[in-house]
Amino acid sequence: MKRTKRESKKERRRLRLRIGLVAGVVVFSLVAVVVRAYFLQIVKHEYYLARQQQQRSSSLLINCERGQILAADGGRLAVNVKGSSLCAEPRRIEDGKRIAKGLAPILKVKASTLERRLSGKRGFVWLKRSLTPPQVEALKPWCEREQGLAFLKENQRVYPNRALAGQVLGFTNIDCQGQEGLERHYEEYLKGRQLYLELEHDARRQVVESSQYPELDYYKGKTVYLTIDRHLQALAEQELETAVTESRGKGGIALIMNSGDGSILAMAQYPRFNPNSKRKNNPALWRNRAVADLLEPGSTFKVFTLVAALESGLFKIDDLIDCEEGNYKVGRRTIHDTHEYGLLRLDEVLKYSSNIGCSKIVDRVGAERFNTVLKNFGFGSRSGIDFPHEPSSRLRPWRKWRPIDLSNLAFGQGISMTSVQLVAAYAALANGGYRITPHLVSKVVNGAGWTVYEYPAKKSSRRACSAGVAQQIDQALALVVEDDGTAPKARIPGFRVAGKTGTAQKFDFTRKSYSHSDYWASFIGYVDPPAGESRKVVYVMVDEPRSSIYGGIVAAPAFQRINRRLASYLNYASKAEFANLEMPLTEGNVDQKVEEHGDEIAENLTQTARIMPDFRGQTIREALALVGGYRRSVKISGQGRIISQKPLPGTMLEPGLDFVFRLSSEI
Amino acid sequence: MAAKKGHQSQWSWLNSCLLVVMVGMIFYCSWLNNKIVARGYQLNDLRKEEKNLIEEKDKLQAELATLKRPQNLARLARLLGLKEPRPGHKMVLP
Repeated sequence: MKRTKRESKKERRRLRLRIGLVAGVVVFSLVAVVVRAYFLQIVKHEYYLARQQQQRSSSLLINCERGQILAADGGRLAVNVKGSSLCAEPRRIEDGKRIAKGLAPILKVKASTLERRLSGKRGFVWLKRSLTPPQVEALKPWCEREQGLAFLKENQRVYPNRALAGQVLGFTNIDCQGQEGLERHYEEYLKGRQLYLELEHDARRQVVESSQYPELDYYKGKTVYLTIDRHLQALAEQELETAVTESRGKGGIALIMNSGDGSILAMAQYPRFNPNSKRKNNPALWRNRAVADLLEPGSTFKVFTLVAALESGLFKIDDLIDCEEGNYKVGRRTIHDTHEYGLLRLDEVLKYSSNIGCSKIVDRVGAERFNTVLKNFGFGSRSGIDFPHEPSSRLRPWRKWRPIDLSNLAFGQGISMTSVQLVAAYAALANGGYRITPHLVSKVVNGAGWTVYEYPAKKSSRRACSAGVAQQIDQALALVVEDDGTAPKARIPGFRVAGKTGTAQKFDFTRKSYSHSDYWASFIGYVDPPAGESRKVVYVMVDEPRSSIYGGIVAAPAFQRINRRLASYLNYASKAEFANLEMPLTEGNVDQKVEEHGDEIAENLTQTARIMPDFRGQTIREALALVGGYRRSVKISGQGRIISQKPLPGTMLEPGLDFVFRLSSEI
Repeated sequence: MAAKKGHQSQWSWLNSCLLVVMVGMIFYCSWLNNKIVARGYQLNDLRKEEKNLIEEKDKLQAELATLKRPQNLARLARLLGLKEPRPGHKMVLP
């Protein structure tokens, strides 16, 4: 069958039509795609770009963690740990009443309170923050089972040393913002920065790693290094507690300050306060009384009367003062001494703590000159310590002083100051007359390890008094701890101690007069350290002691115990000499010898020539105790007791020697 | 005529090569992109693990600091029959 020409022409036309139709459809589709693409990419470009970005990326708010607080010995005083908090999305909660009833015993929150929080259509509520690990374990099944309940991880501030230096450190609120103490004062350094992190998601909302992930260490809070040493703080707190409980007192303060630079090594307070459980404590305990509380110094202030006397040039240290046998009239009032004293030397006025002697001294010095001396020591102003809420010490304008005011001021009544201000003034006397600024922070370091703040190490050039006067006062203060002084209990065998007792009457604001039952009993002083080290001023104050009211009985023993342990901790004794004792030293009797012959050792230190003793038969520890200050190098061979030594016994000792000791267990 | 044919076959060979390279490049880029995403997930998981480990380390350090607090050490030392060093007991060896 052969197709006709006409049929094939018809066939070709149909084919062309089909092709045309297909081409038309394709072209139309392409045009539609192009038009749609134009609409999406050009006309609605901004809208769809924004939607794409919204779906693909999200921003996460990161609260970078707060900086740590470290002690001078490197111990961690305030750190952060991640804790869990329970939150809910009420609009997704189906049976709030049942859930509230179930969660109440775990969270220890009333069921009605939880029910109220879980009701409504809100998007987010906290149910309980800072959960304990057992609570988290108990809540896990609830979060897995119930819709709308979840854990959220938050930074929590933890104080690992518990109550140690609690009032000094202060605390933060639940959002890790400093509220009290150093946490508040150094908030700007400690707080971590907030930053928004842009994250990319996939279709399943999984985070795809972004190359622009920041180095979070730069955004963390800075690390604050304190001058406080944990071990000194612990011993000060322990001895203070003993002093307060033994004297049945209401509370107390103990401070240790380096007189060279004003760094505070310990700032103890009793009763203590644990910042980890601040809500369980009485808010009155939050206050750092050493910095915030003004108190009358009492007899500890007499030392500044003596300084005024010597600085004025009107008195010499051996001048005699008539102490009127214990009664002296100033205007219509009579001033008394605890004992009836006649003529006393100026330093004996301090030694026996004579109120009358002091009154007579300031009467001659005059108000203006006395005021100038007090101002030079910083009284009447703040000490400048890096701690919040420090008040100025209260010193009325000298032109308003009546004669009785001047007399009272001479023995520490009518002026009030904080414990830190008093210790800072004593530190000026201890360091040879230079004023210092007390401080608690030595440096601040950022996340990258750079020091962003450092307390200037250079010595202050501001003078409170001349070096000569400071030296004479030092000698007068050393008399106080003699047998007939007011504080023989402060004496430490083997060490030279200088200090002053204080027994100050508290002012009764209801009766508007000084109380006859409530006192502050205090002792302040220092022990002479080995050459080259600055003195550490130690202050102990017991508030309202009941066993006795006298600083020499209540506070001086605590001062003695603190200094004894401080000397051991700072290794004072290893630099002392034991060479001139007649009895050979053995390991068992070192303490006994120090107890019995301590004064002799101290005296020998200054009076005798330093000659290499015969160490044969003794321990290496005893030998090193002597040669410590002279050695350049020490070579030790063998074990046991010393059998030979170099230099030989009798050789003159000079600094920078090489020592050789041979030891053997058989001698 | 033969030279023209040879020239054409050369071009087609070159085109084929280019096509193969392009297809190869497309596959390589897809594979690379896939790998980047996979590594991103991996990195993200590792970062989470690092975060958890840092949190654990912080907790352990806090616990260690609590255990090493001076009062605790003194209590344990007393239990073991140790005494606090007195002046002269402490010795720094050269």
